[in-house]
Amino acid sequence: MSAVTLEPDRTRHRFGFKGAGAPAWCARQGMPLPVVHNTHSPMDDDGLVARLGLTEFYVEHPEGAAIERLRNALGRGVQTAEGGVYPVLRADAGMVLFGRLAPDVLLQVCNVNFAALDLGARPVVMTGFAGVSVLVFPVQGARGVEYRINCDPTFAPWLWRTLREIVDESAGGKA
Amino acid sequence: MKRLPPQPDEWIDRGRPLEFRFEGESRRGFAGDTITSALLADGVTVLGRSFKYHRRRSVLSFANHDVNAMMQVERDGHSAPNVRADVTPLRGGEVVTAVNTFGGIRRDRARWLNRITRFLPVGFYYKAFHSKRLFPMWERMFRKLTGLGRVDLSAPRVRTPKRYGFCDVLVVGAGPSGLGAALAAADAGRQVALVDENPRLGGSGLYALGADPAQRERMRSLVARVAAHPGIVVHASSVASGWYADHWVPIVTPTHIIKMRARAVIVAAGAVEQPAVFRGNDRPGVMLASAAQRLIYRYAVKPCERAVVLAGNDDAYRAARDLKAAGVEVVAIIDMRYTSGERVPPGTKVHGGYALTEALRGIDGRLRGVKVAPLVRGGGWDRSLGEEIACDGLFMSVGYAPNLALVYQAGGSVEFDAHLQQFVPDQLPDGMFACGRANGVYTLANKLADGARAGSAADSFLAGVPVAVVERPAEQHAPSHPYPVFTHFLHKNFVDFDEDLQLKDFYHSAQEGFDNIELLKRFSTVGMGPSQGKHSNMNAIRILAKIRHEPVERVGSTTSRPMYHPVPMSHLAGRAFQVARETPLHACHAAAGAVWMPAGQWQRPEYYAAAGIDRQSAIHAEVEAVREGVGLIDVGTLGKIEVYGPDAAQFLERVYTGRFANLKTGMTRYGLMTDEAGVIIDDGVIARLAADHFYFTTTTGGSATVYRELTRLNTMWGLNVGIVNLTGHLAAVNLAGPVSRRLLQALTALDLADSAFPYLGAREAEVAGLPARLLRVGFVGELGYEIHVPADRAAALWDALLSAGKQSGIRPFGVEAQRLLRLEKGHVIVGQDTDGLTNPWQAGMAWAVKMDKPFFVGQRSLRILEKQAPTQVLAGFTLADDGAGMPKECHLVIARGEIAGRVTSVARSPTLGRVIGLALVAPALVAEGRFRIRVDRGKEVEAIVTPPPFYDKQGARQRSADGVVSGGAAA
Repeated sequence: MSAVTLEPDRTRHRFGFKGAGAPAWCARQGMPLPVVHNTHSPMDDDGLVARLGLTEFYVEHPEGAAIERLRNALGRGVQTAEGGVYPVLRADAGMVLFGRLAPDVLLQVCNVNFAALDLGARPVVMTGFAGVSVLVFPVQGARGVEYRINCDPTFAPWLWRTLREIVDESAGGKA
Repeated sequence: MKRLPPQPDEWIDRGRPLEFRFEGESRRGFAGDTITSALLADGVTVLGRSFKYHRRRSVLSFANHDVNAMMQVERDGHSAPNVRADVTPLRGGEVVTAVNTFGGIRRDRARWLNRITRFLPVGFYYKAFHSKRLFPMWERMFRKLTGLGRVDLSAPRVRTPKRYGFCDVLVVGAGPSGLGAALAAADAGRQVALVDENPRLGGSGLYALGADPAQRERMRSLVARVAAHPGIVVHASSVASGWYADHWVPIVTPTHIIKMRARAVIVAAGAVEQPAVFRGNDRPGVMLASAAQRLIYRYAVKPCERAVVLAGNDDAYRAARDLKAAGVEVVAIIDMRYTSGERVPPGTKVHGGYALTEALRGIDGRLRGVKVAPLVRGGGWDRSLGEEIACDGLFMSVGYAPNLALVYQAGGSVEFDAHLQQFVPDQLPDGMFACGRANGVYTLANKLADGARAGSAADSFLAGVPVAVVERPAEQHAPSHPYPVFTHFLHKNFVDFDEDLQLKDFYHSAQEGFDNIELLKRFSTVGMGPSQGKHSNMNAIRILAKIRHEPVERVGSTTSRPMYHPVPMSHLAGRAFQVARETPLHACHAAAGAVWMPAGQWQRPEYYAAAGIDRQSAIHAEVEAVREGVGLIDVGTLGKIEVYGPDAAQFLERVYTGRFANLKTGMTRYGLMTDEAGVIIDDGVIARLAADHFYFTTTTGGSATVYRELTRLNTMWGLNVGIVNLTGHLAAVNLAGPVSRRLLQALTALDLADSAFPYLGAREAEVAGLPARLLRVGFVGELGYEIHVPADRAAALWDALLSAGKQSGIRPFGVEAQRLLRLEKGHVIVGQDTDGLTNPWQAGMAWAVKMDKPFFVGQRSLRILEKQAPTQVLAGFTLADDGAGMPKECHLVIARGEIAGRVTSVARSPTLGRVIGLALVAPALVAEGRFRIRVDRGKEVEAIVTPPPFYDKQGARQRSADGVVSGGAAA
């Protein structure tokens, strides 16, 4: 295996919702509510729901139908007893970084100390990579620690090229 | 000087000889040498010329604390200026020349400056530039005379990695105390980063030996323990260049900067040895004692054959023993004190209570001897008892300045210790600790203990345990002499070697009133040269204290700011992350021949190139397509924001100047945003999709700022709304032109008739099977539809529209065509036709401001501004003579010889067949009906004030009552 590898991740479907009533609505949809913000909870079939703040959530799932169900349930938004809940269109681009030198690549683009994270707490890191806002899920996978990176799709080509360059310099990883 | 036999811990690799050239001659050294050590070992004694007087110079500190040996180095086909030869590793193959010369060191044509120093008094620059008339002459002369290196403009761009680093404890300095601190912290389980500017660890512990083999063994053991410790990461050849909030320290390595975030910082950065001030103290052959020790033990260079040591402390005796051990004949120690308990090398005569009054000039300016005389109690010396001592090396060991730069930058305070005769830390910020020489601790045993104490203290701090206050280990003897300064009626007793500042310059500065240390620094330029006072500030403070008859602590010190040493620009630039943003249609544009232009972070098509058509023709053809048929432009760069909730309308009422509470569902309205000062900051189209759901656009550059600002505002207001930024997640195109409706109708079931979807309407429907939002807009002045779809559907939409429009001659158009089309309509681009001061009254946009609303951001300021006469107004113009000269954006409007405005937009309109533009001008000029624009080469053209719009003044084409869709200009 290459010392560090960067791969595109086009397999995930994404959706978000926010508003004062979002936590309660999340629970009512049968989703595992992450209690602490900046953490995520696993869903069935490799999906996840992440709590980005007190009242903002992000969901991704390999099954488009799972996301479509949520989208339909929310429509233009709902008013609940706890407050409003509003949909957030997410067309994030995804990529995955992994390998022995992945932490070294991260140190070249980001000021978050990923090495200090407790993966058992299922952290979600909202930070900047080389000036681009990203949402990162460090997860323990079959290939070791995988850093699943999401960003605004309009930044994705540039971020991909930048990470690619650093990955190539670091260890000759291949996409 | 010559190379010594192998030394126990020498840094050179004698198995790898290297060749290079210096001042036109071939030279040899070894791998591991610096340029300076190689030159000295090869017999070169003069390494440069001084900056101001062009005096011969050689090694002073040999530690990057002076710039006597500053070089232009050509290597690999490129030339680097101002290379510090003392600390720059020799690679082999370099072509090295000294800076600050005209014709080389030996025959420097500017050496005559040394004979006219009396005409170049302190503050000469300020006095010279005082005369406006003579300013140009002095400027030319100084630019020519001031040396330093040449910038090689062909140098390749060096891209260095940026890197962040993290540690529990950052230890700055790997001398004895730093090593002790690192071990103590690491043994306690802390992750330690140890930084030292030298390539090897040990610091003064491995060169200031006093010929003591036991010390060497002790230090070797310490270094080995540190190197083997798994909790310590060593950054050698690296400099902790500054301190920033929360222990953020940039570590400058040879190849890049590490932005180190530490939880605690230990300053073990040692002390900078200081020179004595006496006549001729800059002669080649006169150097700091520590420089000689480094030459001997690191590079196996014998500093001279016959030495005199000037002593102001006991370290001088240890240096004498090191010289002796290296085979140097140490003929005398000139001790400014009267007693010392230190061991004297055999054969060395000690002159206790003596002054060194002059270093004598020999062949080629080199040292041939010294003049000494007994000090007289109460000041001065007895000239009648003076004597000359022949020598070719003079080594100064008179004191130190602690390296407390990081402490100062962190906001720590220092105090002057009269016994030690140095500044020492007093109050340190939380998480910062100091040890070793920087802390006023000098003997080896004390330094090791002090380091261990600091390491343990850092551990306690991180554990949240109160840090015990420990007294600084006491030093029996003062490491610094209180006043190692000797006057001489012939001067040339230098305080600052960078700037050729002599002792008399300080007296003259004080006489002129610059007797505060900060003022003295700026007037005399002491400490303002490349070495930033490392070898001069302490003496400057002592001299000023003497002048003012005050103790040193009353004089204080100057402020040390980052960076500690110069940092290559390539390091600061790093990889140069310049974020570039692409819309989802980027590949479609590339395939269509887009010529790109930057628009903020975005890459946008300026126009679409076609074979055989130049830029202007291509743009005009795109304009014509929109005016006569149909064009398609990617407007996905516009900010796209949604506001949901019961209070959504009220929220928009507050953030925009217009009225939105009464906006009907399914309709849009232009929105103008001002800041609290009433300045226009953004605009866009606001669509009401439901009673509690709005969707609006912002300017291309404004989306992130507007979203942040809206979020901030609602945090204050607490309205029941949700704000969502969809900018990157939605794509958008504008289908515009008289044929657009017919084309679009073929792709959607939505009824596009004016009666069903009127001008300024907003609808949600499917287009080409894709879920879309449609806004009927008129930015380019024709019937048009903005179509917004999810980003991943953008290409499908683009292809469907181009395919459907093929028969109609649809043409993609770029930013330039759009700018021209909207200019014909007189539509303002915020940020181009407005600036950071423009308010709606000035921009002619009063129609977009509803002052009768209860509140909106900027309303109070606009009420005040409304009553004032505007200082500038946005005016449309045409030219009296289109052939007289073409204005460009930002060309100045000139009235009665003064600047009276500037052009904000201008273009030759193919539709109208004439030049049209907008300009921010003085209101009086609008009243006069004409003004003059200064175009290229100073020529002026006359502009006629012409109220926009220039095209389709009634707006009939964009409203496009059914049936009015035929082509042709409607000006």
